[in-house]
Amino acid sequence: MNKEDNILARWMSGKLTESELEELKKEKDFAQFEKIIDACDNLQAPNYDSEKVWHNIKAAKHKKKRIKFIFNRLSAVAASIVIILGIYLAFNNSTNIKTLACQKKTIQLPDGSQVIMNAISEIKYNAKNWDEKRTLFMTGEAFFKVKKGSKFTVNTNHGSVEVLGTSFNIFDRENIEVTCFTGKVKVTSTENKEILLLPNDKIQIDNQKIIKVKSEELTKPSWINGESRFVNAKLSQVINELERQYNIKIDASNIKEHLFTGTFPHSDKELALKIVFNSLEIEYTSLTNNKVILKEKE
Amino acid sequence: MIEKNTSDICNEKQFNAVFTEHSRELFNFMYYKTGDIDKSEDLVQDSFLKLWQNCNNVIFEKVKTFLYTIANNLFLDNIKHEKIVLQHRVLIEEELDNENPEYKLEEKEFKEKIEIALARLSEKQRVVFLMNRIDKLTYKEIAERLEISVKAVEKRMHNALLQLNSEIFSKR
Repeated sequence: MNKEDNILARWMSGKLTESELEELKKEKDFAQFEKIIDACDNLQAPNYDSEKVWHNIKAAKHKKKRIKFIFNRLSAVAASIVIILGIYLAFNNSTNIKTLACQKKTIQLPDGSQVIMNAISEIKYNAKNWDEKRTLFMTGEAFFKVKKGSKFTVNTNHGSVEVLGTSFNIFDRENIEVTCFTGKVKVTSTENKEILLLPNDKIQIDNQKIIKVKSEELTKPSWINGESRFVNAKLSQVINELERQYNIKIDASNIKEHLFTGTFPHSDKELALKIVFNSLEIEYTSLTNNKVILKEKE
Repeated sequence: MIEKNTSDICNEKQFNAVFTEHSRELFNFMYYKTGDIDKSEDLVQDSFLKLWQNCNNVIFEKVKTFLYTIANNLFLDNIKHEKIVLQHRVLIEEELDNENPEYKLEEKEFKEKIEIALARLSEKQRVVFLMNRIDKLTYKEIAERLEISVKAVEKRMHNALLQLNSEIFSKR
């Protein structure tokens, strides 16, 4: 590996060209590099008591005396207080899980409920009082299989979803779409409108407009099986999903509005592009820097 | 113009805003150096007191650089080089597909190995590496804070990953 060009640094910041990336993937240690980065990105700095520090600063600010450095001043008693406080805060802190482009993740919540997260999504919850309050926050797209029990609430930027024990999918990106697969789901929009969903019901909330449709009879969303299915979807939505699944940028500035019905796979970029754009009679060109340019066929 | 800006930091409200904006990041910076929560809090505290004492002499635009420089100097003045133990909280994350106990043990061992390897990085490499991976600062932002070139940041990132790799995966 050429040390001069700091290829690993540029890889970590996502600045490699496609050919450089291909080169790097051939390195025998590449899988190890990925494993290290993956683990490091889940690290967090410890809890920091900024209020205590601010309080001390305020107290010291008004004293005219020269500041003395206060290291090693901690007695054993003070140390034990800090440790207890540290542990308490650590348990009280929320859990935050994210997925990157082209990544899916399955996680288990403290009660055994399951969440499968699609690419570029995030969930946050508090593991400490999970038994008392089953509430989490999410953005992006995720499929939930909720264990029966107390009320289970998912908050999003576009509304909240409440259930007792059931399976459902939430898509919360440009708009919000909730699909119920089993059981009953209650959706509350940001304007406090409530909608009850039964199995195979799907609603879309777009600019405060609520549309309820029957979804196709499925037991889980298609993306979980590694493909994205669309029925009369706006092309822009399809393009956004392609970008998330393949970590590419698609330039559609010269394209008029289209509606797409069909399914593309998550494992074969060329095939996915072909399926979507050939059916719409759009020409596409893949560039080296993960960009794809679209052009209407003449 | 500059007159007005300098007096801003001496304003209690403005000073509080500066604290709110920079204290967490400064704490992390100190923690990556020391691996000690209490010391890091003390260093943040003393850095802001220095800023307060010098509030008339610091231009608002330079506050961040001033804080980083001061914190670094206080660190150099006061810390005898000790063995650094970084205790990062690792997110609990269970991958359902890999639920067997052997896998979990392996995961746990791997995380421990990473922590040890991070602690063994040179201080310069560790600080840059963690500012990027934990605080999600770009190389440019790190370069500005440490007053080094982007190239130097890249070099430290590159070497840090190589070093972590050989530390974690070398067979002994």
